Amino acid sequence: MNATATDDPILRLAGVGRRYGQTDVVKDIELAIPRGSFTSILGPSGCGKSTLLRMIGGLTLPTSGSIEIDGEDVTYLPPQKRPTNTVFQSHGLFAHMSVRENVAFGLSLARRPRSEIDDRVSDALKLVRLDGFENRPVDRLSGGQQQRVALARALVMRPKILLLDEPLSALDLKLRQAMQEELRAIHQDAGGTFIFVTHDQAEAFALGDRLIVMNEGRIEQAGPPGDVYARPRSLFVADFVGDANFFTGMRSNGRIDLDIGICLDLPGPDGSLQLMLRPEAARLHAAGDGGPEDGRLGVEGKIKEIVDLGPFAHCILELDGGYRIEIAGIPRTMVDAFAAGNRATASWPEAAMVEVAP
Amino acid sequence: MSGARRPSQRLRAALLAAPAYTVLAVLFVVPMLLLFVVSFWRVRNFALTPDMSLAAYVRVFDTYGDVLVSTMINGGLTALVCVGLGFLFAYAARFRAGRWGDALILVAIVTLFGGYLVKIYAWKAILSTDGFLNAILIASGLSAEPLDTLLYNRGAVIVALVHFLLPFAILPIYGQLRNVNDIQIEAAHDLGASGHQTLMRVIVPQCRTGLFAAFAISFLYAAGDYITPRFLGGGSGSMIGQFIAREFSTRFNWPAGAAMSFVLMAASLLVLGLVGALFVRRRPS
Repeated sequence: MNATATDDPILRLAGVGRRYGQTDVVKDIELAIPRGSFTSILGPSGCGKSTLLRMIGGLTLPTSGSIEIDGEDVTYLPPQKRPTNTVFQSHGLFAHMSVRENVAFGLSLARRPRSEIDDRVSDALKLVRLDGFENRPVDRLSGGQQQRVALARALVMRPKILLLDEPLSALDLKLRQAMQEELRAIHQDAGGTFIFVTHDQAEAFALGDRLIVMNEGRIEQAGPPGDVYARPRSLFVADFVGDANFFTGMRSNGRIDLDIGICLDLPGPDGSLQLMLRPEAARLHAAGDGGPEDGRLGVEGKIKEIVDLGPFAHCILELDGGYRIEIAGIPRTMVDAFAAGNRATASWPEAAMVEVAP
Repeated sequence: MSGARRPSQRLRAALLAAPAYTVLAVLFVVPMLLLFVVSFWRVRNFALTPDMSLAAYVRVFDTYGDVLVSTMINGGLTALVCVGLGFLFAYAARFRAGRWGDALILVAIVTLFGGYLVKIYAWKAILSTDGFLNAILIASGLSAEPLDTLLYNRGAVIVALVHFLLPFAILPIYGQLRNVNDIQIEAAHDLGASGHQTLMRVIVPQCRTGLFAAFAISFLYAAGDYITPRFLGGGSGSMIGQFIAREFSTRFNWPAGAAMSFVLMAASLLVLGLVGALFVRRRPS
């Protein structure tokens, strides 16, 4: 998995794995995280993403491999000796302390001078927009405020890498979106490298400038979010990241015959294969409008279902062989031209079809 | 949801609470008041005579001053040992025993079924000159002669009281340790705290009231006890409860017994107040 390797990554994982009893929760991870990046690690629950984050932070030790931060081997260092700080899913604030005491905790352990602690704490609280809350007990704050205190408590340490373990998943949608925006702004203001773990696809895309998709303890794909979305390498990534149509077919001598009855040229080894098509890459044509332009692939079928989603509509087209194609992003001005039961044609450019490994 | 309470609801609440208040008033408040009044009376010709005399209180300090101090020391030491051992046990049950934590607590509670006199006699059997401990000391060659200093002193009383009171100290501490979640501890390490710093700055401060409750329960019980010192005490192991019991039962000197009881109560509350000021920190406002 070649993470867009830079010459001088802040974090490098080599062959990192974690085994519990007979189960490999994380397997043989190779990863390099560029300095200053905001990386989202996305995967279904139980895929090992939190374990991976905990190993970077030192809260869980790997059973194989090595971890290097800024050129220093930290594989077996305890968390208190690592230049990382973590924001936990259930914040873990110290209930017996005020907001200020929580945020100052790490600095006072590090025996920083009083004036420096005061300055940095108030800067951190300003950054998360909680100035004025210094003396509140943390259990009288709302969920979003508590999570912001946890963020300030970690940020104030100026970690080389800030680790965020699904910190927003306990918040409701509106607050979550507001916090995502804030996190992006904080990353820009505070700098540093952020690694954000989430099972929420939209959140991963909204936040990261780099995306890592994990499944069953492995990295399935890593790269800029747009690339991962447009060119998923595996069936899992295509399916987990966004919606997708899948077509099976056979290739011989670079020519592919798809089961839905269309042919296209795509070099590769002979044999059976799968292609993916994003629903919004396809366009829908009503029966009498002339059909697709040249150079586009097209199939005809019956409209099984058309759902008006407001700005756009969404359609399921049933082909004669019983295959179904999902088409998204149909402009609202065109919705009236289609009705369930009518025949229509779906078309897309050949390049929109991506071969995915099973 | 609740809205304004209607009078009938308030009446019902009062009715529900009435039996408890009645029991409390009849069995606790009224006898205390009577005893307080009696503590100013005198005994003349073996009969209680109403009076407004402080003679009984003067006698407490003249005659029993050193026993009172000794009682506070025994109670305080017992309570400190209970809090210390109780914290260790509760800590182990909460943070080291994994899913067996609750089972450990159950075991601690089960030891209460042994009863209280049984424990006293058990310690008498262990600590006496022909007892278990001396047998071991002689058999192992650590001592040529049986030691007669094991029993009838402060140490013996404290050991037996701790044995009995430890479960009562464990419970409130364990209850509060359960509120300290694992994430807080991970967060403390993540922010640079060593194990010891995590203990002192994150775990202990969050079970202050539990520690104080453990101290208060064991101290009040130990300071008021009169059975354990009677069987295992003597000398430094004597406690004022023994003498209070004697004033009431064999000497029929109720004013003296009552005055001693109130002095004991005042002294105990004073100790608790001082310890409480140390244990319980005010919340951030």
